[in-house]
Amino acid sequence: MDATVKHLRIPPEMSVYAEKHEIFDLFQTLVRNLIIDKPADPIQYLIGMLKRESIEVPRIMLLGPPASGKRTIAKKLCECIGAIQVTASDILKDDTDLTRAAQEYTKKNKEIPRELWIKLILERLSKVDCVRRGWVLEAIPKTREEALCLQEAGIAPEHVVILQAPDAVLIERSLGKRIDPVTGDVYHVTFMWPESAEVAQRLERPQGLNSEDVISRQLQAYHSEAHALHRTYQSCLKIIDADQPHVDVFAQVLTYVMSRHRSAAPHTPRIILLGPPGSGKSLQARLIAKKYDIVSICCGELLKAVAADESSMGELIKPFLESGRRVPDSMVLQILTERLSRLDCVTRGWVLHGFPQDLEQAEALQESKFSPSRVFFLEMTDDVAVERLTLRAIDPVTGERYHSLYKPAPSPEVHARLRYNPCDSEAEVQRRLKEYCIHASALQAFYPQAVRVNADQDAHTVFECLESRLVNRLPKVLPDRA
Amino acid sequence: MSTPREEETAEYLRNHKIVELMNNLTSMLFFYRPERPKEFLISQLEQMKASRDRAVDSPCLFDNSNLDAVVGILDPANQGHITYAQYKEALKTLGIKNFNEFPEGLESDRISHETFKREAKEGLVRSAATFQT
Repeated sequence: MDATVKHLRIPPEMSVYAEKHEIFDLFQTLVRNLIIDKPADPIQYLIGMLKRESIEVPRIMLLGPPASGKRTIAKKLCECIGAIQVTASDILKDDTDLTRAAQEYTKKNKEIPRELWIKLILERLSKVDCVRRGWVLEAIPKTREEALCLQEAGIAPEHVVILQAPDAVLIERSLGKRIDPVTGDVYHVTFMWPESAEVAQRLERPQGLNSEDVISRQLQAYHSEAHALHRTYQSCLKIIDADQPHVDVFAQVLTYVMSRHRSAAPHTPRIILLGPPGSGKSLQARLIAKKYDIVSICCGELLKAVAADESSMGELIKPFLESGRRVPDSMVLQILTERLSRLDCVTRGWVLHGFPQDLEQAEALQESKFSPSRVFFLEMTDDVAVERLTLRAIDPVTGERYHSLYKPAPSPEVHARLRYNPCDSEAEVQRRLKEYCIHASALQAFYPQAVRVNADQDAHTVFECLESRLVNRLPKVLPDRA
Repeated sequence: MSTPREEETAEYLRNHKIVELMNNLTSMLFFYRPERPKEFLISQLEQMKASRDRAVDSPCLFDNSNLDAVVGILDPANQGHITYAQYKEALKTLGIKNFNEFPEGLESDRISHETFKREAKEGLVRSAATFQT
C-alpha cells in the first residue's frame, strides 16, 4: 500500500500531552483575547499574555436584589479565589477625569449616562490587578442595556451568580442592615451581629434604606430588570437561593464558580473504575462503553483471553491462572499496555476495571504512558456487596442471571436448575472484600482527583452520576495557601 | 451573512496571519512537547519577533537535515536529480504554497537536489513568517 494514502496516525503521546497541558483551551483563550483586543502587534501581545502567571482568571458577576447578601458573599469569594472585588462605589472612588465627570452628574442629582458608566467599568477592569487576578463585579450590570454594552466592549463573564430570596425576607434584612463605615462590611441586627464589640459600636444604618416603601420600590425596580438580565446571561447563569445561612450560600457559590464550562477540546476518555467486588464495575463499564463507543477492558478477562490464545505470553501466565495465584505485576502490565496501545483504544478511549488493585500497580500504570483522565470509586458497604454476590445464580439452560432477592427465578423448575458460582461463596467474597479494603485507602490517596460515587443505588442512577462527571471538565483546584 | 464586526475580525485574523501563526505554534508544541509549554511558546514568539525586526530566520519545524532526508526518499538511487512531479508533490507535502512553478531543469524533467532544497528552504521560511509584513 502506498504510504501517502494511508491515514496519518497521530501519535498517542501528542493527545495525552495536549490534554495534560490543556493546549486546546490555552490557544482558545489566546485567540479569543486577540480577537477582542485586536492589538496592532499580536506577537508582542501574545508574549505579554503568556508571561502572566495565569491566563484564565476568574471573571464573575454577582447579582441580586438589595440585601440579598451580595457584599458579604463577594468579599468572601474574593478572599478565597484571590480575585478583585469591584463595586459601583469603588469605581467612583478613583480620581480620574472620567470619575470627575461622573461626579458632576451625581452632584446635580442626575444619573450617570450609560456610555460614561461603561467607560468607567472598562477602565477599572483593565487595571493591572484585575487583569492579573481576575474580578468579581458586584451588582454590575443593573440592566440588560448595560450588560449588552459591556458585552460589546469585550467584557464577558465566565460565571454569573444571581442570589434570590422572597421579598418579605429582603425587606426584613434591609431594615436591620448595618454597615461598618471603616471596612464596608455588612451586618444585621438580628441575623449577623459582629463578633467584636468595637465593630458593633461604630456600625451605621445605611443611607436611604429606612422605610419599608423605599425598599419595596427598590425591589420593584430590580424585579423589572431581573428577567432581562437572566436572559442575557442564560448560558453561564446560576441562581442560588439566598434565604439560607450565608455559609451555605457561599459554599454553593464557590462550587459553581470553581466549576468549568464544557470544553470543546477533543479528548479520548481514559477511565478507571475502582470499587469492591459486587459494586457493579463491569456493568457500569459496559454501559459507558456502549453509550460513548469506547473500549471496555476487564483486566481479569483480558488475562484469561491472553492465556487462551496460544501465544508465548499466554503460556507464561497460564500456570498462574490455573493454580489461582496472582499473575506477577510486570506481566499484567505488559499485557495491559499492549492492549491499551492498540488502535481502537487509542482512537476511541477506554474504560478499565479490575486494575490497578494496589498502589504498586497504580504507580506502574502512571509511569507507563497510559495515565487515566478520570478515576471513579464505586462505594458501598460490605453487607450490600455480600448480599449482591452470594445470592446471584445463573440458569445453565438459558444463560439468564437471577438473584434470589432482586430477581428471583420465575418458576420452581428454573429455580431447581440454578447454578451458583463457587467464587461467590460467602467466605470467598469476604476474602476479596478484605483484600480490597486493605488497598482502598492507598489508592484513594493516589488519585486525589478521583470521584466517589455511591454504588448502592439503582444501576442507572449510578451511571448518571458517572456520566455527569465524565462529560464535564474537572473543577478548578484552589491553590494551597499554606 | 456576516456582520461588520465579524468581517472586521476576519480581516484582522487574515492581515496578521493569526491562523498560520497558531498552526505554526501548535505544530512546534506537539513536536517538541516541552514540559513548560508557556515558556516554550514565549521563546518561540520572541524568536519570531526577532526575525521580523531583523530578517533572521523564523522558527520552523524543518531544517536542512530534514530536507536532506526528503531528498533521500525522493531519490533513493542518488541520481542527483528528481522529477518535476516529485518536486511539486514534495513541496506541497511540506505545506508550502505558491512555490516556484518553473524551477531550473523543468524542460529536461530533471531538477537537481540543490534547486529543490533552495526552493523548499525559501518556501518554508516564507510560510514560517507568520506575521504582518
